[in-house]
Amino acid sequence: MSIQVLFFGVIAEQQKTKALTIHGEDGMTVAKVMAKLGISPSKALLIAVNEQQQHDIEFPVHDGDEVAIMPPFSGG
Amino acid sequence: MQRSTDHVRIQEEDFSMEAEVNAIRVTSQRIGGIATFLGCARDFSDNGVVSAIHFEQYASMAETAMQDLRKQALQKFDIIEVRIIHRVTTVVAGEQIVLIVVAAEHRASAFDACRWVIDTLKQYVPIWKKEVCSDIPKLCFDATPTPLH
Repeated sequence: MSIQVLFFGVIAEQQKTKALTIHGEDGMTVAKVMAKLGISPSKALLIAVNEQQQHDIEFPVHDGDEVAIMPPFSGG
Repeated sequence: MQRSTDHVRIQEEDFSMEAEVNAIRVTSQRIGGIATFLGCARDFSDNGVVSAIHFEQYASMAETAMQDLRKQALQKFDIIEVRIIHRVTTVVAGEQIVLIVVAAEHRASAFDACRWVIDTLKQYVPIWKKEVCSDIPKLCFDATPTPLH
């Protein structure tokens, strides 16, 4: 399965990219995606799966899903 | 494709506050008051002198969140219409960033809804800013929520 991962703000600067594709096995979760990328779970990070914000890092992800890893919003 | 007649817009180009207020004002003769919030780019922050602020967005999610924000405001408050415009580009200090326009029969609802919309936008819409600081040779990333104006 492949998962598209998007990074924004300071996270994109830390990852040195705005998007990448990772490959994993069935049973992937947001936490496993973050572990593959070497990103530690933190309350300072916001997560969205297919544009829906998720607060549970054990939320399952599936083939073709889009996972966004985001710093706190700072618009306005 | 966003049009100037849309009540929710995320755009690069600047906007006319007068034109946006008038666009709402003519939608109903029940309107008794219009409250506005105009957010501008300050030339300072904790990082020092700020010459500009660069905004980026998670475009598809941000547009959905802004549309949802408008719907929530219309349900939550006794108001007639609300318009939300946010620029996503590099905004020079002193320029306009965001505009909230709320029309209601009475001023209290318009003021309450206007404050709620800008406060909630800051927490709910995936837009980020990065300050361009004049006095240090690098960009200053603000990863913390913007303090309320």
